[in-house]
Amino acid sequence: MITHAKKIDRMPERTWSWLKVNTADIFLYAPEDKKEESVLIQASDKIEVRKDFTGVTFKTDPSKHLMNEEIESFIEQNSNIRYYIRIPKNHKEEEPIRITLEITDEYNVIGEDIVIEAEENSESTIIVEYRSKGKEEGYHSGRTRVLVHEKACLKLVRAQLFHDEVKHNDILGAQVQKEGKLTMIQAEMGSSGSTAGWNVLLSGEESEVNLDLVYVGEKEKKLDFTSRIEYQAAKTNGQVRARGVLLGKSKKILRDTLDFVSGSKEAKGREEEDVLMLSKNVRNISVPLLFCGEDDVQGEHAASSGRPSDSTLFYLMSRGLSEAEAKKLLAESKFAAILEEMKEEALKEEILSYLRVAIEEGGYMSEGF
Amino acid sequence: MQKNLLEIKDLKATVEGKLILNGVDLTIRPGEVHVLMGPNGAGKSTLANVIMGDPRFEVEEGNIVFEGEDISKEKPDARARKGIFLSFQAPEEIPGVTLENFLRASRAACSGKPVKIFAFKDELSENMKALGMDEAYAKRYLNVGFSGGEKKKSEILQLAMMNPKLAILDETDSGLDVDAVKLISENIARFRNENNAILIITHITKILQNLPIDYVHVLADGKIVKTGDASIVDTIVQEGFSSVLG
Repeated sequence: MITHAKKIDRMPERTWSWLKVNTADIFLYAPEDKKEESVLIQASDKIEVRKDFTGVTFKTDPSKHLMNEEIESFIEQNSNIRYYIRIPKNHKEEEPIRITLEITDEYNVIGEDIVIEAEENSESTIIVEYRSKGKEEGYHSGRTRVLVHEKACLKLVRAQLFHDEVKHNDILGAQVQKEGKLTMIQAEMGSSGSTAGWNVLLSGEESEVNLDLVYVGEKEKKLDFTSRIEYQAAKTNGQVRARGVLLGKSKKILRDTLDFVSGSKEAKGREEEDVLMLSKNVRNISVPLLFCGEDDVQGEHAASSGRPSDSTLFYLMSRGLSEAEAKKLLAESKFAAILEEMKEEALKEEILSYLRVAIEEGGYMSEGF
Repeated sequence: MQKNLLEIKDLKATVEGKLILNGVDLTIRPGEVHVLMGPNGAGKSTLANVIMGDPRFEVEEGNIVFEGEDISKEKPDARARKGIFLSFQAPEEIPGVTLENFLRASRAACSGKPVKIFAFKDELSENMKALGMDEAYAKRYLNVGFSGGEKKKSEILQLAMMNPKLAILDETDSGLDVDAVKLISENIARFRNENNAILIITHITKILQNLPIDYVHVLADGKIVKTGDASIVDTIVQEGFSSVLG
């Protein structure tokens, strides 16, 4: 296995180094041979699924913003899962397309490189599940690139459910063309630590993106998230919602950038984050950034974080819920607004079960009661 | 003679070092309806919260015995599971948790058994109808965006669904219009039976109209200074607290 540890710039503009928000640690793992790891793709025969990227072109590769040339060439040389998935023009895929990647003790390194192309006026849902079996260390480095064409509508649900011996790096770049719509729900629930980034270019007029993130940090886990939306065209609309629960000695950073560039007249953007801290020892950093290169735009940001108040806990406990149950309920309530957008009940329940287990395992503080 | 449900002896409690309850004695038996009155700042809500186990208050002396067991050091959830219920004066808003799910979680926690969904839903629907609540409220987040009146109805709905042995109602009638007070009063009467007991904290007597009152207590300066029958309520309404405080 080849390993590269890198620090990569993750702020659109560097800030004071003592804030320690400028860079993210990236670990890249490459399998010694390029044997394909276990991957399962379920889709109807109308969907094109192939293993090469011949003919796939991005006017601007949206993932480039999140990496440098060295990392890009590492991914291109070392990926052992490489798929191109195309939803054809005017096609409505009734059932979700499912992609399941699994790390096992035997095949413990996944280098994933996926391109999804939703053609004009198509409609589809893609569910990507990152899973693991066994207990040994595992490594996942992923790059996903998404192209949403004119009037196409793509919903992407990505659930990272690795066990806590798996290291996880993830990059997603997307471009949305005129009147296209991308909805993404990302659940970062497992792994020993996550470094994940999303960069979305709203390149066509009235294109839209809704990025939703839920995450849980426990034990000594480090979570490093970067989200960026670039509003390139008029009347574009992009929103980011993040809901997180931090326990134990976990650390989390979210850099969340809305970048209204010249030409994005009447664009609207909003970023909001709400973090429930269930331990005094967690570290939570939120870096909301707004750049305006156009004067007629609306950009909002809101971030809130805190521990549950004594009065709230007392109220819940006065109805018979133990402190842990009350905190579980509050934690689940943080995720509710995002998870209610998911139709996949079993997956939703599995995401919540990660949260419940994290709280049950004693990551929550006990005080006052 | 029937056993005491709640027995409070010489209860002294502080908040941030300030003495609020200064030696409260109170005994409640099953089947009884008690009314607690007193001027503002007398310590009525503090007493309710201390009985429920609010950690913001420190019990300095005395004890709280429920069904023969000293619960002074028990956590609020343990007290709730033993059968004590407090209807809050200002119920909390919990975004993300629906009223129905909260009730189901509370029911499961208090009974220690899984909740049978269909029977639970029927019971919920019946109780909401009795309170004149739109059933859509069951799917709404707990108390979020509820009017003052709906919040109080939500508290009484929780009372009905949890069926406790002792219900403490802390100014459940405040901020309600006359029709809502009547509805809530009827529902409290519907809840009452010979095996449970009610402690009502109120300034308004309308809520008492459907209830046979056994005892009225007047709390002043952290102590119960007078106990008597329902006639005390009329005296206070007509002549004010000075008439009973001397």
